[in-house]
Amino acid sequence: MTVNRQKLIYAMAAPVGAFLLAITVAGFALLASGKNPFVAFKQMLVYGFTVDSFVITFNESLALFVSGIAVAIGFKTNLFNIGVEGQYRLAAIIAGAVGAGVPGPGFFKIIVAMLSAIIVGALYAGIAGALKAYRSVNEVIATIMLNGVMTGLVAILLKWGFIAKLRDQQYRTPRLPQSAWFPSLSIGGSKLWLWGFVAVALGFGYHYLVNKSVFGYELRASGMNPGAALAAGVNPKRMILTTMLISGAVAGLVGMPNLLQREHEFTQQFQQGLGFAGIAVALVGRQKASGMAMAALLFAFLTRSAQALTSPPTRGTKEISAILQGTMILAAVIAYEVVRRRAEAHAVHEAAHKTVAQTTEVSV
Amino acid sequence: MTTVQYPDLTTDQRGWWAQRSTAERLLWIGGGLFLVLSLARWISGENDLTSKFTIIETISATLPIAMAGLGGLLSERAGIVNIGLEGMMITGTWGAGFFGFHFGPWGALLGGAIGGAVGGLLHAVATVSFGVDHVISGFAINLLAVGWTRFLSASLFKGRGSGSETNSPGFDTTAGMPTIRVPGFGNKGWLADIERKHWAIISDFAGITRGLLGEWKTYQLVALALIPIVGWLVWRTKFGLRLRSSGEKPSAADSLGVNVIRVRYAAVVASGALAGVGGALLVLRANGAYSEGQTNSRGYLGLASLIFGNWKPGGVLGGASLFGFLDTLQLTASTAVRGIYLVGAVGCAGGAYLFWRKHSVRHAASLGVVAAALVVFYLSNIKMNENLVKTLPYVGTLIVLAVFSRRLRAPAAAGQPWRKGQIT
Repeated sequence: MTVNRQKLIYAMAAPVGAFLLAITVAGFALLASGKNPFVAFKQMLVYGFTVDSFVITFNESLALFVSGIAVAIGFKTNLFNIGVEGQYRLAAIIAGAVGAGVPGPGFFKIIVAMLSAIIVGALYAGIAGALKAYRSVNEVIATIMLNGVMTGLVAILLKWGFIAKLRDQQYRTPRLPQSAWFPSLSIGGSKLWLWGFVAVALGFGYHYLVNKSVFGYELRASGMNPGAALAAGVNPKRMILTTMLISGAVAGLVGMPNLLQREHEFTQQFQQGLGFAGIAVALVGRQKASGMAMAALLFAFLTRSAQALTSPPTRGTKEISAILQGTMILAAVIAYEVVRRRAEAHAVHEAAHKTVAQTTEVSV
Repeated sequence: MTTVQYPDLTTDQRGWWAQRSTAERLLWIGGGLFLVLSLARWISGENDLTSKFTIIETISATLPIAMAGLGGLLSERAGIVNIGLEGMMITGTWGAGFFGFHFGPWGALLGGAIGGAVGGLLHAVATVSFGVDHVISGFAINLLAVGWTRFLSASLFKGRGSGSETNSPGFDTTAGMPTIRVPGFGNKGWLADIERKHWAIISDFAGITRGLLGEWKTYQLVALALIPIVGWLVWRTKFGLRLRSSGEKPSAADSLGVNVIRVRYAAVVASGALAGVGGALLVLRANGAYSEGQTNSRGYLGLASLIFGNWKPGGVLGGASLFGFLDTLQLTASTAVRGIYLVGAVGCAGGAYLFWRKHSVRHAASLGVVAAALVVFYLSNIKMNENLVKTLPYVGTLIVLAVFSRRLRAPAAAGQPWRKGQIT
């Protein structure tokens, strides 16, 4: 039991410490710019703890959470998929066009849109996977390059009449009919996105896949010790390719809450940066489904509550949420490493004690 | 009785290319590229491909990317992978905007270096001292840089002249930093006349010479000088030997008394400073104004040029020039962009010929097919989509990586966390 408690303390110390450090740094930044940090934080809390803010925090956290899962799948086998950004945007534009174009009832459009997003995301990530598996190209570089390619590709697709047309001074994919909007629940003045069910299902699916399935076992094994995994019959090339395909498939869904619940069409302004935010979520949440859910909610909450800083007396310090999040990520990864080393040293120490005790027994 | 067959050690058995010295190789590559460009220009009539203006703009677009790549070189040669170049470049642009506004263009260069070095220091603390995964730390720095610069701009630039939370007020970039114009290469004189004649090869030579020698901003010269300086530092000094050994096998370096931790700190901080100078060049190029998103992934392109260039300074410059050239064509000479098809076609045809001479028919045939396809594209008069051009640097990097990734060699210990006393 004590071991478990110790484990828990170790697990909690890092994120809590990182959060406190981030708050402190942000507080000093506010102070330096002549604002009272306590007033600002109170303003944020008051604004953040309203029903509207809760609903919006939840809505915004969905994409972050899914993006975190996409990144985390790769992390489990030491693959760094920086390309979620490219995968979800490309998937979203295709899904928007295909979903609106396919004939049939609304729910069918939704399913087709999500399926095409999954396929596009998987294929795009698959390029990096294949390059890594068969040409030993570093996946970090490959996915960064694919992100760059995506920017141009999306711009080209937006001007291709088959995908998008000029409407109201902007290139847009055809608008999804109201029947193909994902249902939502009205709470207070806001709408709670029921796409949350999909996200929760993905979370459970991720947990099951990684921790309970044979594939997950092979995945973790080749992440922890590629040599041992290879000796045990895991094909590393197939592993890399499959992992990237799955990661990309999940990444394809990142844009879906936005597409199916808010925008219903893809434009150049379609929400950006979710892929990068997902990496932060996966890091802070330690690639655990529950941890990532909390991290996603936290980041969404910080972004939402920082909106309070657009009104006096702390007007113009909204950017503090960016500092909070950025500092927290760096502090968290450092803190995890420190804690890991501590735990490792602790384990070594214990083992040494045990060995000493045993050897003395034998000699006596 | 059998006679012993000794290997022939008196003649060099290596291939022709391997026997060339670096200078000879550069001459061959440069000459080849020049021929390709000038032929493509002559056939297509897209005179902007080799005009003085294009070359000057290419230099201006190349140097920031090269600086980021050079920063990456220092860091990765010391064993620390630096994905954070983009973030360090961002803090560099901010520092340049701030210091430049207060202290003029020289202040901007210094401010850029300081801004980048701060990012580098953070990266060093996380990776060298705490052993955080290099890619993760670098990535976190990229996020951090965006947040901090936005906050700092909101508090320090807003309300000052044309400053806002996304822009810094500009400054006079020529004060104390003159543009050096070499007489004879201006818009008058016989070289300019020759360029205007648009003769094959000769006019191209005139245009490129005028672009390369005609006009340099002082800060560009500073940046250009940094490339050989870093090369000298890393390959010709004691510190460089220590740096490279820290990147190849830190445990061995450590056992010989090299302070790996200190060397790596120095390398990563300097790496940030160089990326920051790259950011400063962007600010100086934009009339002294910092703006959010100014780097536009150039830090990542710097990283790509580092890999392109096989972790060598000349290679970094080469890769950066390629990106800079594509960038320039797309921005300033949209009609010349169609000429890229032809450049590619001529280049591929040349490559196919070389492969054919080496009897590797498969490579020759595939390159030949690509060349033919590009010629068809060119003839069918399809306008090169500007967005397609935007993707070319990235696609090009992917192709180069896919084809040559097994010939490229990263420093052996790059990316692996190492703690003092660790044996492997």
